[in-house]
Amino acid sequence: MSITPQTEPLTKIKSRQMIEFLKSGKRLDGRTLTQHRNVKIEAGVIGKAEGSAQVTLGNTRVLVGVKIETGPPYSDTPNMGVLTVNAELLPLAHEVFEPGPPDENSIELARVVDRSIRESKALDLESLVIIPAKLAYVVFVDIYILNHDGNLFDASEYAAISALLNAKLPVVKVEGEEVKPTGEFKELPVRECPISVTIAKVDEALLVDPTLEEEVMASAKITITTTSTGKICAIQKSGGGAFTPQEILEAQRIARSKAEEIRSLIPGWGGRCG
Amino acid sequence: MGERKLIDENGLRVDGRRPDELRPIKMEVGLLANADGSAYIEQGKSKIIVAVYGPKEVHPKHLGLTGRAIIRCRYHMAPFSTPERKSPAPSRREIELSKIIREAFEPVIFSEYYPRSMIDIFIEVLQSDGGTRCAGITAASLALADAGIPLRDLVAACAVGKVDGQLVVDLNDVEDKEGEADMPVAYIPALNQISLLQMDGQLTEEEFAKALEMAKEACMKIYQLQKQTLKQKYVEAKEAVEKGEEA
Amino acid sequence: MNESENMRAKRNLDLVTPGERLGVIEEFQAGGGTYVEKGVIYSRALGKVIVDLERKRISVQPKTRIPPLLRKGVQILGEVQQVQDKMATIKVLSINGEKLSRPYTAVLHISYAVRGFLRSLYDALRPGDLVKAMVIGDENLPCQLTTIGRRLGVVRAYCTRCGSPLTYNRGRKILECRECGKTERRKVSEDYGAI
Repeated sequence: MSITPQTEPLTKIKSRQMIEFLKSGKRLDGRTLTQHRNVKIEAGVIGKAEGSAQVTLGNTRVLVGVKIETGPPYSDTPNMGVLTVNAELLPLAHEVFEPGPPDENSIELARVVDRSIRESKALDLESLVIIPAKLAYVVFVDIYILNHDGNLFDASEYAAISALLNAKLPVVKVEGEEVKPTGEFKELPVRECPISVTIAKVDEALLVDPTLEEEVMASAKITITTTSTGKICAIQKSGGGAFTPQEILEAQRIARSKAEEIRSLIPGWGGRCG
Repeated sequence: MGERKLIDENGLRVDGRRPDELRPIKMEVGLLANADGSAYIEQGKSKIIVAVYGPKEVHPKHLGLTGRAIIRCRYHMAPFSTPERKSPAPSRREIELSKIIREAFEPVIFSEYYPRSMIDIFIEVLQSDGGTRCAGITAASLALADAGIPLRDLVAACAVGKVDGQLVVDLNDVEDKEGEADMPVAYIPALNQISLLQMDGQLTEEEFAKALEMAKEACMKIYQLQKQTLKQKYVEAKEAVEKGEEA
Repeated sequence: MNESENMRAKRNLDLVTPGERLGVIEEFQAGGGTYVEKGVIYSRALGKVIVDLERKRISVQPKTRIPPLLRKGVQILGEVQQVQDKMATIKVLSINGEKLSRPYTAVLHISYAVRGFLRSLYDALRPGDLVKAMVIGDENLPCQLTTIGRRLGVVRAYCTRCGSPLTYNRGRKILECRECGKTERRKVSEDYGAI
């Protein structure tokens, strides 16, 4: 059951200051409305994982590990490999995160990232089946939130696609009933580079890449994912407010142009798109 | 995908509808005796029942907020609502939908009138044939109004999608599963605001703008039906009283 | 949409749903069951439009139930749950005469029980008593009540020895049990025995 959350509001001084700044088109940390925080992406940070990447977005820090195993495909998609995205809001990332089973926020986060990758057809799942209906590669994308300062959707999405681009597929051979790794690796078939851009509505302003303080002040957020060919492949509006249709079209335009910028920073994509 | 044709040579869909045509919709209010408000909707083969309880005292107490009522929302599918039995335990999909449906209602409920209280919205999908989150929102609006909870407006919801390269409204299950895109939208006509928006699949910028416009139009048709249904209940109640007096 | 056309559509006694446009603030005052957004008056209930041309006021009278609200100043009827020396919890059963389908919890502090000094709340009420009280605070959780006032206080009480209803002896200002003869003290309302 979903319950209206208790959020600690900002102090009056801070919220007033933020609104004042926004009126003149500025933000508390000096950014313009459509500017991202400093983006840093580092791939291959965990040697034991088949793929990994760490993303920092200002003070937000997310680590994604990709593990690849073999297992049966889903019965309704017997000719496809399996993609599973999971997110952990670790207690070490923020004092409001409690240990325990995934709550609605971590489930929403995982499903939004999952949709970006799946709907953009970034991962060529059809090439990941080994024996139709029997055996396929199972790709686990585990999102680890290490520090929460807002915009977890985008930081996680950038880390997830970077980790997939970084991942190596362990080649297996099937002998009778047994599945044995050959010890060889090949590139994971990543064909697209979806980029999500989250825009928060504070007062009447639309802010790209909101910090946690801005998220607390925001009435609603919208996350729009676009592909390298400029198509929209996933959208999620979240938060208790609403957008006018004009604001949504405006957000879509902003998301499309910002995605181009971010895509050029994704390690391993530049080499593949050509 | 692409094996079955979803739009025929006459431009009609698998169930014979035009691209901008809604499925047949049946709505009913006030059918559950215990609930403070309730509603039922049939949209095509999707069947959904909604109950609203409250405003009532918050349990456990620490969840209560001093300045407003909290809203609790559960979207749940019956085990027998799908071809294969669905486990009654809430799935990740149901948990996500419960959250975004609650968020779709936050902007219309005057929650500040009922501090330290809670309002429960229970959406049960009895039969699923696509578009259940939208039909659930449409019915939940009726249940909230039936419960007398002060609202800025009714929320009307409808999905727009893309099948066989064409934009269509109110997808059924086949169109949702085999189509190229699905975009559920919840619209608040009085405020001209969109309080739920999701999308999966692929749309170009032009298609997206057109889909948003089509969704708005479809929601307005549903909104008219919602208003009719609510008013009908009270017209009928009045007629019943008048008949009783004559007898 | 044409403004005057819209106004003509909403006449006195029209049935409206939440979100229906009723008028503009230049022409009307927004009455009960309505809200104002960007200068426009909308309905926030499912009900009947009431146009008061004399007072230039437009309101909506709900056809649905009106959910009860524990607000400062409302009078409640409740059952005493727990009594401690300084504090009692009361299960609110009705608000301004309207019965609740589900009770709310409220508290009564000793300082708001009677006008004078009281050693213990036990001398004013006991568990199981029916009391009339008024809400004096709705900011904190749970909300606070008072029984100060002639019409407020216990309206029905039961003998703590045999459980029979007590009758009020107005002359002696004391409650008496007709079954066992026990006498008891309460903060009694003028309306004792009337409910």
